[in-house]
Amino acid sequence: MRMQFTVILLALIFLAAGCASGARSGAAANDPSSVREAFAASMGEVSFYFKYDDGDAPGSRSSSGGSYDDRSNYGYTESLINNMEPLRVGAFLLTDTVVLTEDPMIPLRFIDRIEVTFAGSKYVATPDKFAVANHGIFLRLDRPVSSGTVLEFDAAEEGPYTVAYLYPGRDNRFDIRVGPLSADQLITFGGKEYMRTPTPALVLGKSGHAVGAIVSRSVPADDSWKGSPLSWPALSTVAFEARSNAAAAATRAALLGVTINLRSTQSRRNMDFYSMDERSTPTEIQAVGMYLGDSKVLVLADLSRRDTSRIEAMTLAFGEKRIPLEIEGALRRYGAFVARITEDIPGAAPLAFSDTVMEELLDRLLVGDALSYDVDARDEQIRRERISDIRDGFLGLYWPNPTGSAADLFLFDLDGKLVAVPIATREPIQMEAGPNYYGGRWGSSTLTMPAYRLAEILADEANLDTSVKPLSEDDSKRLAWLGLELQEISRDLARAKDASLPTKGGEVGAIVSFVYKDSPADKAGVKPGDIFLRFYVPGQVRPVDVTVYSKRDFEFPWAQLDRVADVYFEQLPRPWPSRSNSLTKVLTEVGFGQSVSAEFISDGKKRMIDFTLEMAPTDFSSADSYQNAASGLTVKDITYEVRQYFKMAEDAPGVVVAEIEPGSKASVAGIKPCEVITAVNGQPVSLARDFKAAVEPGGELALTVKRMSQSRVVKISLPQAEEPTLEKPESVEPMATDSKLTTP
Amino acid sequence: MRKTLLLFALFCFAAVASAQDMAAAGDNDTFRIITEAKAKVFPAVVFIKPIVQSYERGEKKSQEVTGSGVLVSQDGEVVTNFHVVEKAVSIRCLLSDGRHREAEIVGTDKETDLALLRLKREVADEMFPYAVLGDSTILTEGNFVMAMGAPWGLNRSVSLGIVSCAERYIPGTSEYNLFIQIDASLNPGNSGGPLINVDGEVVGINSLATTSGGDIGFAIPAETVKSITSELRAHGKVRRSWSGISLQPLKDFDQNMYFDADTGVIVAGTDPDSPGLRAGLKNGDRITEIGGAAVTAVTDVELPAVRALLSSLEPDASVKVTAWRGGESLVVDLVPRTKGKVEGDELDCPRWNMTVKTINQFANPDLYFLRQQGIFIFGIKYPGNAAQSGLQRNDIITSIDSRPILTLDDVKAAYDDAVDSTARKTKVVVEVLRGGFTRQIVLDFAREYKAD
Repeated sequence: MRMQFTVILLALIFLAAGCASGARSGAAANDPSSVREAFAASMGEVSFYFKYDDGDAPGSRSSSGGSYDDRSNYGYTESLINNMEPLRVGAFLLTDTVVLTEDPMIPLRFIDRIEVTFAGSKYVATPDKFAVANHGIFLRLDRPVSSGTVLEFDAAEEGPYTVAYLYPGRDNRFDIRVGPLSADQLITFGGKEYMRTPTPALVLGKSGHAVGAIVSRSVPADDSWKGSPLSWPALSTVAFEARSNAAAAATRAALLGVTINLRSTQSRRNMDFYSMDERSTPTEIQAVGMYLGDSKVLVLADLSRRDTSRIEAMTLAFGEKRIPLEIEGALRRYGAFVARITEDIPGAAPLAFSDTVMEELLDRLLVGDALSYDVDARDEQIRRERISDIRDGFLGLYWPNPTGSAADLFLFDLDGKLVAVPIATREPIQMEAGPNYYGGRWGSSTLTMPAYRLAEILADEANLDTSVKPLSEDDSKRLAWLGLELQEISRDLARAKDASLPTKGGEVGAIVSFVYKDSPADKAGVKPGDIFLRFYVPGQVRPVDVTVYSKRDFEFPWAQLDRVADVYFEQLPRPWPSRSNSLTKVLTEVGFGQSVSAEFISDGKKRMIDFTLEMAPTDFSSADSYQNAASGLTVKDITYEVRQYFKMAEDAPGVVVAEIEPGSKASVAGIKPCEVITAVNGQPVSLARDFKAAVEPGGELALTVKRMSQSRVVKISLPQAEEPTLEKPESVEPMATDSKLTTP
Repeated sequence: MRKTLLLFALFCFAAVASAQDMAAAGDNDTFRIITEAKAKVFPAVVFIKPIVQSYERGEKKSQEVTGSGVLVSQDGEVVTNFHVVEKAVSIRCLLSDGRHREAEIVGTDKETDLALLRLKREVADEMFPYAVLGDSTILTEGNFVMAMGAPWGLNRSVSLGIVSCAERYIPGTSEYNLFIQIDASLNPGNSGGPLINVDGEVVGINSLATTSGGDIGFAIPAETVKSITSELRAHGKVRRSWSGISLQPLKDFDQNMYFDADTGVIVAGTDPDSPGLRAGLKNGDRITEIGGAAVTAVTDVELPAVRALLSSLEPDASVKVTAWRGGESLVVDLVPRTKGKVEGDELDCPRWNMTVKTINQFANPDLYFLRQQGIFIFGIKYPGNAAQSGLQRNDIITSIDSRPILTLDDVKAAYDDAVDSTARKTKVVVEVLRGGFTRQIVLDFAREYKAD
């Protein structure tokens, strides 16, 4: 009887001792209710209250809170702000003033206040430290906890392990959920094993003691997670700010503002030449230029070949200086190009690239610098960042996903080395689709490119397409061609031509309505009536489907031309088809000299033809022109499509009237736009410059003007061009009439 | 009595003299003149109501139109405008004495817009009142004239005015004749009616008026009417030759163009493959003589006469033409051809809801330029199968279901083939030339567009 009493007493003493020291006695089994009972006093709740800062919303993703709800979607934090609701996360008591929770990865400037609740008591907390190797954030309470049990960790305790995690339940309370840490939750990535657990969670050993705490979604399945979080490498907020400032300082010397000026697309007559989204591109683009050293700059701007051809000037801003940049070429797969500076920029220093592999950086604390330029204003936001995920994607490579938005985001490690740059993928080439085409760049996205991968890309010359560069206005209008005019194919027409299947019921493809003589298509034997389905571009998996849309054919009012008042001349469209159509535009984007494989249906059979893209002969929009102000006439060379429209022989003379100034002599004389002038004063004229030579001297001009097949004589009288004055000798003295002197 | 008459005449004279400046003799007593003149011609004015067939709206549709005419011979010849009886299938005429008779067409001339009809007699040797054609060449500005006809269908109407311009050239219309511009009120319905002078002679046939801008009307001079009707009477049509030479006057104020010469007419151009081109004439040449006759067109008013001369040349017979080029004269041999039809025939394709027409060199020069022998779409009915399928007016049809189309018979054959109910076809593939390029269009005629 006394023996039993002693045992009970000893047990009670042990129990009391256990309670007094605050140490946890192991729960007998890891069943949910005992775990809850054991750890309830050590688990609390943190409420992060957010605010707007400087007009910015926290925005972007936040990978915090429980894993099975949707806290990681866009706009979640914004809706929290609108509801004046806090973000609630579970927390663990580590000391009487320090709690550990999962970092919501929201920049500190958006956090209004942090409240922590333990056992019914509320405390105000401030961020103290950030864990370096995982998503942990240590918060300091404003006063020691009055009730609550500090967690003690035993790294040595073995499994089988149980996971106890805080789950947001109803009624603003967190529940503790318990489950075994099973093998299903192990994943292998990059040769390493990781545990995927809900967070934040405690991992308990077989005796029910806490072995470690987990605050990141994927934790390496080695022993590094074991032990008290207080032993984790961590950086104070002050120290982190110092590292951030150091990284930002480095960017000032390496990430500079680039201003790109493009030639305007807004020209009345050029409306056909530019597609809808080209017309809406701005004429000034601001981009970030990364100084690479050795006079090279990587300009992070995603411009198509055609946009690049319109570049008139590109300057790098360095302090007060504006340094011109010359393009060397564009990256083939990414929206960036390499340029060369023509002047030295002392004080600029390229960033040091980190060569740590992505997998090593998973979850690690990094400095994120979201940088963009707007004229001279540098819009920079520094925040803490982590790579929460690495996925395979573009080109089958692994790409890191930062917790925040990838847009404009440069990542640095805590030593100040560049980890990743933001770069857009090149969108695949495709044809303008149709009247419902809304334009805009689709198919391209911003990626976070590891710095070492960028270094590899830049090191290989083959990755640079040097044919992408600015061109003069005339050259930028040159198009690549095959020599085809296409007609839309409808479902009925596809059926009538027994081509319903290959054209997908008339959705894909177009009918060749005309083949220009001696064009690449002509030489390949393409005939009117053939169906052009698609073509394949090297380096692009997705073929370019040929789709044309039919606009209402405009009938040029030849018969009523005399009744059109001259003030409306500029509104008359051209009767011949514009050679800048969706096909030639997309071929030009592919580039001269590139090969494409084109798929046709000819006489019911599929036919593949390889073409090397040639420059089209000049067409009306880029033809030589001559403007004679005295008469108000502007004429242009007759180019091949105009010649074909008028059914003129190859050697038939003529220049076409491009414009007539209202109220001018030419207008009074009855000349109309699109008429053809075949001779001046009886001399045939074949080119605009012939016309210029014939007309410039002025005087009485008799022009032979043709409208379709009818010709007439038009007389215009222009002022005589001034005779070049002969140099008068300095002194004019009468020569003596002495017969001895001879005139020189 | 005599005293009273003199006073009356003077009174009238005075009244008239103070009102208007009169040019020709015989204009003394306005009211007497009007009454007497009217009396001479009024009985000969005819109210014409033809039923015409039009293909313009995409289907063959008959329509009754209204116009006027004038009897010019006792046996019932009526002169009217071509556009009144164009494509008429039946013509009913109402005379001023109440007789109503059918009329048949003796001959028409589209280019001068004249037609000659003959009333069908109901009894043998039936006689009709008629008017006399006067001398339009002595008309001058200010002369009183009267227009008779049926403006807006109000038959037996007379309007009074003066000659505003005795020789008016209307570009695009004055191919072979000038017009008498008048300010007598002319309205739709007056077409084809007589314009008479104070002597009760027909000096013109009322043809055109401006729809906006007040009382400005135009009549074809009697001179022209005389020569045309004699041709129509003899041959049923006007025989002309064609040389394909377009002309320009020496002085053109409108276009501010003045050639340095007092005689001759400028060659504006020669049509492709025309006698003028073959003769070697070039634009800018100044023709001074045609077949020995001197020709001059100082202003555009003189152009119709030259054109008329050219058209009167004997076809297939060579004439010498003298021209000046670059200060030197040259003589060329011109061999005109017979001027053929000036308009193509039409065909209705009811189930397709469209009408087609033969391309004609003169009526459709722009289409002719693209295809000399061919068919084009003349009319598209809305709503209709052709409209729905995307076919447009002036499309040149080159093939239907791979059958080449050159003539109306080709279209008829293709149409009959397609619409034949045993064939059970609801679609044909039409290849058209539009704007110089071929397009293939599926014409779906499954739907029958009929008024409910």
